[in-house]
Order: sequence, then structure tokens, then C-alpha cells
Amino acid sequence: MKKGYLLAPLLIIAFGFAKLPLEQRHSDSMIDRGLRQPVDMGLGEELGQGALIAVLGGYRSILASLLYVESQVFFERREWAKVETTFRLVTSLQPQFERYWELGGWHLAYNAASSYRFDESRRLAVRETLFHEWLDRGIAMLEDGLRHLPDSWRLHADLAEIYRSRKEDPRLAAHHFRMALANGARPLYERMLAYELVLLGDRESWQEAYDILMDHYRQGHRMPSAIRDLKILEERLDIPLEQRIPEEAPPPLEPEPGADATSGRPQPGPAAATAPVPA
Amino acid sequence: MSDSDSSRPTDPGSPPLQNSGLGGALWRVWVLACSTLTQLVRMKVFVFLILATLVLAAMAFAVVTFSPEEELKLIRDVALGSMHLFASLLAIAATAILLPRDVEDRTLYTILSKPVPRYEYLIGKWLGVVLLIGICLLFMDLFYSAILWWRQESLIQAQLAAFEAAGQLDAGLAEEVRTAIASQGLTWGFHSGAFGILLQGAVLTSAVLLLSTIATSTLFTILAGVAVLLIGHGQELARRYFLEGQVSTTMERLIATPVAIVFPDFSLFQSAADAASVGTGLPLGDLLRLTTIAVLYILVYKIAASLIFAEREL
Repeated sequence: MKKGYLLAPLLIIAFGFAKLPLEQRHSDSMIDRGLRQPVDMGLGEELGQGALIAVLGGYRSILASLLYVESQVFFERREWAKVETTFRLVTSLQPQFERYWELGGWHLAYNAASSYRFDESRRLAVRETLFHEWLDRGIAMLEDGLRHLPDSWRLHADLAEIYRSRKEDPRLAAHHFRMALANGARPLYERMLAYELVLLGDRESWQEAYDILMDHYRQGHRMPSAIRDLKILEERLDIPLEQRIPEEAPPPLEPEPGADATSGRPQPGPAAATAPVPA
Repeated sequence: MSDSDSSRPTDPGSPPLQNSGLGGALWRVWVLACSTLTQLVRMKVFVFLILATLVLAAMAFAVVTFSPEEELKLIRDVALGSMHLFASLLAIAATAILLPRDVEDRTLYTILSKPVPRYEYLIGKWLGVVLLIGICLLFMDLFYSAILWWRQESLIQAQLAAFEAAGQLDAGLAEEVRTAIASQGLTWGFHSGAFGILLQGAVLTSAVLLLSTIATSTLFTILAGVAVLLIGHGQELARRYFLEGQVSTTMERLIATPVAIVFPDFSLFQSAADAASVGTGLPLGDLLRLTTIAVLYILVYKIAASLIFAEREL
């Protein structure tokens, strides 16, 4: 046998053993920092063989984009189970893209849940059960997103909004608004936090809400909803008359910038500035 | 001028090929690379590239999306996907046809009858293909960068105008809109993704060139090249099985071990494009490490190919 034909495979094998730890270290380091995703063969069952080959061929991101586009077709047809399955796949393929988690949570917790709630072909009890079931699926989607992107203020804000407007749980809403703020959400969410704290039953929360709203008031943010809550808090906290704000409590609420007309609070939906309008 | 003429490594006014030493070797490799590039360009590669790029870019705009960020991500994914597709196609197909064509039109004998060592011939061929991939990726990077920047700016203006018309625009919101859209638009991460694809293309080219030194047909080289690409993207699984002892049966060990050892991990290089897809991009340190790994692969595959090609009967 020719020498070269023997040496070449030996060289490749020797290099193969030497490079493994180098590749592994670099790969682990990037996975730890959320810079890449390991190949998950479990995806094959859900994706189908063709799509799995696309993933193996290096087309993970474009496949995620195309599946996302497909999910919009299911959304238009109100095939909610397929919407959920597709978003689960999309987020498995690219868990670092927070927008997919946001949109998945929004579809499930708002569009699917409302679709079932207003489906008059079902009995009221069934509608309410399905509404809460899909609401919980939306929450689960966003919580999964936070496991991958714990610093995402947008996911926290979306969760807070669901707890505020859909679950009516001010304690969890306040928690997620607080987390959103800790991760860089804009000051609007501080006011949102205060509105939820007002709804809690303890004096400490009221004091915190009062401090936040007064701070915003001094900065010139004198929204009707803020004035309303400040007047409530002045009473609850026995604020001396000379320290109270001069405004009267506004009777009917008018919408503030970025707020809906009924509650004076931001509209539901993904928290981004460029959020889509729910259909 | 025929293809064989274009491959002739003699150029009036150039240093003689007989020049010994590193300078002469580098010159010979460069001449071979340029002639290979010319040879490939004459196969109308760029016409196909331009047409396909325009069609793919149009596809990205044809899809309805919910928000500006999603539209920009889709454009970026199409851009990176088409770059990856072109780089892989060129690395496999262009490399696979080089040696058989040079044998067929007897250019190989013309070149090797001169004082050109066989390894220099291989390096020159490899460099020619990598130059072609690099030029294609540069063109696509510039083209898609221009599209991304144009869409990004127009989407920002449209969003700001919409918020202003609704009376909701303040400085904080304007900044947030700009940041949110720009983070998904044209960033340096996009270029780092293209660079990762170039590294992957260079490694794949060297692997396919190694295959073509032992192959007896172009079809075999192309099929084997595609297999290397696919297995290379799943090599990480085999490596984890091998290193972390996750294999439970002898059969699994028999499959995982050679895959982990012989094949390159292309998913490492792909991670640059994946990071670019979500709008982040790899840090410079990671790109440097990836470059080091790519250079090691290329060196080893080049040496192995030279060892085989030196003894191959032509």
C-alpha cells in the first residue's frame, strides 16, 4: 500500500482526537452564553425528516422563519392547536429570538383564549374553561421564554399584562412589572406597577405606589388614571391636606397615551413598541 | 481562449515559475488560484448568483409579517440562508469538478510538467474556489446590507409617523422604536454571520478537495460532499455521545466515534449565522476561535490531500 494513503487517514484520526476537546469547549462556552443551540434530534419527530435535514444542513433560522409564516395561516383559520404546535417548534428552533415567545404567548393568551370565550356554539361553562386553559398555555409559553431569556423585559411585561388584564392577579402583575423595570423597561411600566400596587391590600404597597405616582406627578406626568389613584392613596395613607395634590379626582377616565379607553392602561398585546394589532 | 489556456500558469512579465523559495511558491499558488477563479467565473456562476439573489430577496418581501422586526428578521434569514446555500453549493460542486476537468482537458499534465509541486496545485485550486466563494459572499453581503438598511430606515420612519399621528410619540418611545427596529436591521452581527459562512465554505472546500483526490468520479465527490455537509452539522451529537459517554450500545459507539473524529463540526461555524439571525452576532473572541479551528481543519485536510495526491497515478 502506498505510504500517503496510509498516512492521510492516520493524520485525520490523530487530529480528530486532538480537536474534540477544543470543539467541545468552544461549543459549551457558546451554549452557556446563549450564543448557539445544540442540535436536538427530538425535533425530528415533530419537524419531519425533510425539515430535520434542513436543520442539519444549517438552515435552522430560515426554517424557523418559514414555520412562523405558516403559523400565521393557522392563526387566520383559528386553528389554535396548530398555532401552538407551530410556535413550540419555532421557539425550539430559535429560542434566543424573544419575539417568537412574545407572539406565541400573545396568540394563545389573547387570540385563542378570546376566540373560545366568545364562541357561542359552546356552553358558557365550557367557554370559560377553555378560556382559562388557553390563557394558561399563553402564560406557560412566556414562562418558557423567560427560562431561555431571563433578562427579557418584554416577556416580563407581557406576563404582567396578562396577569393584570386577563387573570386579574395584581400581585403577580406587580411582580412581573417590577421584573420588567429591573431589566430595562421604560418608565411607563413603573406607573403600571404603581396601579397594581394600589390594588394590593397592604400599606407598604400603597406607600410604594404613592411614591412612584408622586414622582411621576412631579415630572409632569399627570394622567387621569394617576390622579385617580393618587387621590385614593392620599385617603388610604392619611396624607396631610397641605401635601395633597390640588386636582380633583377625575370622574370618568380618558385614555392616556398608549392606554385603552376603559381602564386608562396600556392595551394588551406584546409589549414592544412595534407591537402588532390583535385581529 | 479555452479553459485549458486560462489555467496555464504562465504570465508574461510574471516571476518565472521555476523560482524556488517561499516567494516563488506563493506566486505559483496565486497564479493557480487566479486561473481557477477565471475558470469558474466562465461557468456563468455570477449570472446565476445575481438572478437567484434577486429572486430570493423578492421572496423575502412577498411574505406578510406582523411587525417591522419580523420583516427584518425574515430578510436577514433569507439573506443568510441564501449565502449559506451558495457557499455550500460552490464549495461542493465547483471543487468536485476541478480535478476531473483538469484531467479531462489535460491541463493538469501541462501544469505538473512544470516545476509545480502537486501540493501547490491543490492549494492553488482550493484558494481559487475560496476566492470565488468570498467574492460571492461579499456581493451578497453588500446587496442584502443595502436592502436591510433601506428597510430598517423606512420602517423606523413609518412607525414614528404612525405614533406621531396617534399623538403618542415622545422621546422615550421614539428611542425605543428606533432601538427595537435597528436591533433587527443592519448590524455588525450580520457581517459576522457572513464571515462564519465563509469559514464553513473554506473548510468544506478543503474536505471536498480531499475527497476528490481519492474519488474516481465527479458524482461520487458531490454526493460525498453533501454527506460531509449534513453529517458535519450533526457532528456535535456524535461528539457529545463520544465525549460524555452517552452511548449505550456497541452499535451506537461504532457510529458515533468515527463521526465525531473524522467529520468537522459545521454547526460551530453556523452559530455565527444563527446569532446574526436573532440580531446579536458573535463577539470578536468567538470569531477568532472559530477562525483558528477553521485554519486547523484546512491545514490537516490539505496535508492529507497532498499525501494522497502525491502518490496518485494520473
